[in-house]
Amino acid sequence: MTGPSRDNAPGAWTKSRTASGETVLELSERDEQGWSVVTVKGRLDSATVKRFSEQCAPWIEGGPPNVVLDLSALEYVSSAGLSSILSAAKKLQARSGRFAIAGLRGLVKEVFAISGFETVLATFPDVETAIKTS
Amino acid sequence: MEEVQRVVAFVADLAAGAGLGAEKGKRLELAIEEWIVNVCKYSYPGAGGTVEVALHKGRGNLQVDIADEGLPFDLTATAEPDVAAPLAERQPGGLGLLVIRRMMDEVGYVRDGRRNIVTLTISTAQS
Repeated sequence: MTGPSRDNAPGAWTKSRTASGETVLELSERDEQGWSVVTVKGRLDSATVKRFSEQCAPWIEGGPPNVVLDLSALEYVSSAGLSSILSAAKKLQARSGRFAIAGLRGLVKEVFAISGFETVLATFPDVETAIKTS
Repeated sequence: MEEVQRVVAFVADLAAGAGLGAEKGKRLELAIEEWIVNVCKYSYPGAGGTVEVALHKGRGNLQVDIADEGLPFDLTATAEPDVAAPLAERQPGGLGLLVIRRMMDEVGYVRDGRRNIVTLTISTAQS
């Protein structure tokens, strides 16, 4: 696969911690069939969203413009998180890329439904289906 | 914004101690976060301010009162964003108040002198 080099090594994990030291956000990225699969674990809230945006920037703004966010291990998302996901989706759209969400469940799925994001964004039950169908 | 999460965690711990289950606890956390972020962003333009939080255990519910002395703002009177709009027309704002309304069983507001007082109520019954 050719394209711009990435700042993050394949499969590299990055973590976000609160001031108390507790880890609440974990991100990792891997390449799969021409897609950048970004796995988000923990909480995407007002405290972690800045780190989320900064660490996803290389994958959203560079590299292949096909990104799927694997949210199957995301336990909590607030409107701050939704805004950053919306921003990512719009940036990929501007690059004529594809953006998909996979693995919505529980309260996160409900928040996506409330906000209309479950329909305005391409959502799938899992990463494999997202890549095959998009 | 880490201060916001300290408040959220504090209320969440109190709510759990008062018998609120884990699933409803997350719903309460979400509503608290959304409102306190709103206060931080808009209530005290150009200056700091205080927020007071009180939790009351009622019969079958928990009530959280959040008071600030910022600009008057009635969250119950605001219009909801168009959640059916296509991606290109979606704007990032407005979702926080919508989330609060959907997460809580009741949302109340009063302007008491110089204070906004928002009351969030959630049933403690298992969902």
